[in-house]
Amino acid sequence: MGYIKNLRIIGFKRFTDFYISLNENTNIFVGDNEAGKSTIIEAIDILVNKTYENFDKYILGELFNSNAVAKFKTNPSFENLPRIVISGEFELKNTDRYSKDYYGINWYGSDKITSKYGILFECQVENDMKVDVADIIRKKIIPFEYYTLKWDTFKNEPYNKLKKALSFVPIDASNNNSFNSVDFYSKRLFLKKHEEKMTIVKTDFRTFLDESFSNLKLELLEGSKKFGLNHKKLILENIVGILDDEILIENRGKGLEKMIKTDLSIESKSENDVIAIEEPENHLSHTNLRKMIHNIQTKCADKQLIITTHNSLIVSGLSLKNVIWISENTKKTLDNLEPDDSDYFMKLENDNLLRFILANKVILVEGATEQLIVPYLFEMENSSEKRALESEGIDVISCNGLSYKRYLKIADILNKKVAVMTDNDGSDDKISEIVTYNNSNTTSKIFTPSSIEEHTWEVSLKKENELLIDELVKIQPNAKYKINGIELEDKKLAFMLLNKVDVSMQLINSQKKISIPNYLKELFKWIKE
Amino acid sequence: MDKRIILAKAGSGKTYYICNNLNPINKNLIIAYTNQNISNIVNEVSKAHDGIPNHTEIITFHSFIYRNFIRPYELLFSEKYNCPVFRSKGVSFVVPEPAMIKGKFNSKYHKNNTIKHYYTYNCEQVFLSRMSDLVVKNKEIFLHGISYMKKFFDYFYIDEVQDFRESDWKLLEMIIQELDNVVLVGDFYQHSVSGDNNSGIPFRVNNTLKKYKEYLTKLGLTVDELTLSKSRRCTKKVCEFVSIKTKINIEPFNMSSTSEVREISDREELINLLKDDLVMKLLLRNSHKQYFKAINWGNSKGDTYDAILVVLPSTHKKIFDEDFEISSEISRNKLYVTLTRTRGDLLIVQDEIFKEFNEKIL
Repeated sequence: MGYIKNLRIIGFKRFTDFYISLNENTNIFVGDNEAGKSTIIEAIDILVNKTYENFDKYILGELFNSNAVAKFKTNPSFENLPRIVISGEFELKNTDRYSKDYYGINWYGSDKITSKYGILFECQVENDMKVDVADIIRKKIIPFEYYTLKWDTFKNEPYNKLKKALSFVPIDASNNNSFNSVDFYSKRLFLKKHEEKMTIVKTDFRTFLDESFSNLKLELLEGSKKFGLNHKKLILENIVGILDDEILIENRGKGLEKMIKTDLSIESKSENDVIAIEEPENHLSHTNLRKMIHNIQTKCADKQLIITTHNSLIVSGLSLKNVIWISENTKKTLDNLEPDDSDYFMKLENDNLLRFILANKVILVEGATEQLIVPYLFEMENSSEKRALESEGIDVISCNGLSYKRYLKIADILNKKVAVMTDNDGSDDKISEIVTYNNSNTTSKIFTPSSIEEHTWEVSLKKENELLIDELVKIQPNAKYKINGIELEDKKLAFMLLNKVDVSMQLINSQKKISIPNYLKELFKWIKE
Repeated sequence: MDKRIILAKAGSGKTYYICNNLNPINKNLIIAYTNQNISNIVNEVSKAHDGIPNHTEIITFHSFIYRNFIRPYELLFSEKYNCPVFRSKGVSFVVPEPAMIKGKFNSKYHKNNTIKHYYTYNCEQVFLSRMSDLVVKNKEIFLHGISYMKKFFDYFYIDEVQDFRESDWKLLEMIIQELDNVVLVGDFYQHSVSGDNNSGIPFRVNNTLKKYKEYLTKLGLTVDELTLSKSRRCTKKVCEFVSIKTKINIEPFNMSSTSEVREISDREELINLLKDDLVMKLLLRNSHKQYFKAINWGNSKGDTYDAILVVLPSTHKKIFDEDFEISSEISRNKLYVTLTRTRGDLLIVQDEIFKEFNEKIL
C-alpha cells in the first residue's frame, strides 16, 4: 500500500521550516490548539488535491508564514519575497499505477543523486518575473498576482490529478457549518471516486437538461431573446449528494453523519488512500466514538490514516506508537515505545496520557491524595506567583497506584521534564534504585524520602506537621484502626492512612500553613528550574 | 538472462512476434523507432492481451529518452553547462544549425559543450536529432535513466532495430549493455530504406550480414535467424521471385499459398488496376500527386496490402530478365521492401508504360 512517508513544509502558515515523517498506518496528531495539526493536513491537501489551484491569488495573504511576511516588510527585496514549498515523499510500489511518473530526483533540497517518489509544490514568483515586480516590491507590497503555483512530481513532470498514484481524503469534523462541510465532502468523494466517468457524463447531463427544457416550448421573449439554461450553473458535481436509505446524509443528524462519512471513505476501494480525520470526537457521542475507533482499526489496516485529536480516548484506543506530538515547528513521536508499554496505555481509558503528552512539565504522583494536595502545596510554596502551576506549564498527574516507569519511557522519548513523587515503601533497595536512576537521568528525576522510616507520604506529612495534624485529625479514643489487619500504635497515622482523601481535604480546607516534607520541597525546586 | 536479436525477414511478423510473446504480467517496455510502428504495436498488443496490460509501456525511442533520460534530470544541466535551471517543454523537430555549411564554418553553430547545441532558444525544447548525443555525453544522466528503466521494467523489446543510426544507435547500444532481458527485432535488409540517414553507424562498417552478425555477437547478443526467417505475408511465388531478383533469401511460412507475379503491359488492364482500390500502387516517389491510392516505396515499410502494383523505375527495367542484378545495396534493400508488401498478387508495371499512360489521362 502506498502512503506519505514524510513532508517538508516551508513558509506555510505557522511553519517556517517543518519536517515530519509519518507512519505507514495510523498517525495521531496531538498538540495545542494552535500547534499546527490542521495545517499539516491542509498542506497535504494542497499537495495532493491542488486545493488552491484556481483560487484568487489574494488568498496567499492568508497562507504565507507571518515571519516570512515580516522579513519581507522590513527588508523588501525579490529574494525576501515570501514563498511556500511543500515537498511530500511517498512510499509506492514500482508496479503501482502511475508510480513511474512520480519517481525522480526533483524533491526539495535534492542531492541530485537519490530518486524518490513524490510531489513538490512551489508557490513563488519565478525568476523571469524579477523585473516586472521590482516596482511593487519597492512599495513593500507583496505582488500576489505574479505568484505561480506549481505542482511537479519528483520526476519533474507537471502533476496531473487524473493520474494520482495516491489519493488523499480529509474529513473535517471541526467545521461547524454542517451543510457546507457535508456538501463539500460529497463533492470531493464523488470526484475522487468517479472523476474519469464524470468527464463522459458531463456533456450528456447538460444535453439532457437542455432538451427537457426546450421541450417546454416556452414562447420567445422580445427580439432574439429567450429563456435558456445557464450552463455556468449546470455543474454536475455541485448537485451531487450522498444518500443513506434514500435520505441525504446531512439530514440525518450530525453524529450519524460523521459515522457514515468516515465509513464511506474508509470503504473506498482505491489502493493508495490516505485519510485524514480532524477531531472525530467533536460530533460523536462516547459510544459512537468507540464504534468509530473500532471501525478505523479494522478497516484501515491497509490505509494510512491521520487523526488530529484532543481526546485521549482516541490516543489510547489506537496504538500509542502512532502518536505524533506537534508543537510549534517541532514534532515528537512515540514510535520507539516497546509494544508492552504501548499495550498498557492502549488499555488505559483516561485522559492522563494525553495530559502527560501535552504538558510542558509533569509531576507524577502515586494516587488521588497526592494529586489533590501536591498542587495545593506547590501554589502555597510559590505564593508570590499567581497560578504558579499553570504559568510553569506543570501538570500533576496520578499514576493511580500503577507503575510510573511506563510514563518515564514516554518522557524519555519526548524529552519531557518529569518529576516523580513516590513512596519508598520502607525499602532500602528501592531507595538505592532511585539514587541510581537519578544519577543517570537529567530530564526526569524520582523523589522519595531518604529514610525508610518515612515509608509513605502520610508519615512524612505527619512528621513535618505534628501540631497541625494533632489539631485537625480527631480520633475516637477507644476505636481500633487496623491496617492490613494490624493495629497501629500511632492511631492518628492509622486514621490518616485509612482516610487519605478526607484528611487531605481537611488540610486544604483548614487554610493553615502546612510544612512541606523535604523531598517534596526538592522536587518543587527542581521542576521549576 | 536473455539478450537476443532476432533477424527477421519481411512479413515474418516481427510486431506480431513481440506482441504475442510478451508476458502481460511482466513489466514490459516496447520501444520502436517510428510512430507508425508504435500504433501497429499498440493495436497488436491490444488484440493479443485484450487491451494494453497494466505494466506494459509502448513508446517511441525518442519519447522514451526525452521522458526518462532527459527531462527528469534537466536540473543537472545548469551546473554542467553553466546555464540557469530550466525545464523544457518537449522536443523540437527543427534541424539545428550544423557546424559547417558547404565546407564553411557556420557562425550560428553552437558547440557541443554548450546547452544551446542541444536546446532551442531559452531551452524551450530539446532538438530531436541531438537528444541521444546529450545523454551519451552525460554519464550521470545516462546512469540515472538506466536505474529508472531497471526499476520500472524487467523485459525490453526493441522493434525495427535497423532504423537506429549514429548517436541513437550508440545510446541504444549503451542501454542494451546495461540490461538483462532484452529482445531486439530487426531486418538487416530493411536498413537505409526510410530516406534520410542512409549511412552511418552501425551500417557504415557492418555493411554485410556477416559483419553485422559478428558485430552484434560482440555486443553480447545472441543472433537468432530462425525464429522469424519465414514470411507469413508473402506467398511462395512472391518469395521465390524476391529471392532470385534481390539475392535476399526469403521463404514462405505457408508453402501452399498461391498468387501471381506478373508484368502488366496491357493498357486496359492498367486502367482497371489503377481504379481498383484493393490494389495498392507503390511508386518510387510523388505518390501523393496521384489521383489513385498510392504510397512511396520508402513509406511502405511495415505495411501489408492484399495486392500491389509496383511502378518500376527505369533503373530496374530488366527485372524480368534472367541476368538481372542490382549493384547498390541501398537500392536492393528498397526493392526488397517494396516487393514484399503484398500478401497476394505482385504486379509490376514499367515506369515508361505507366508514365505514357498517366500523361494521356492528364
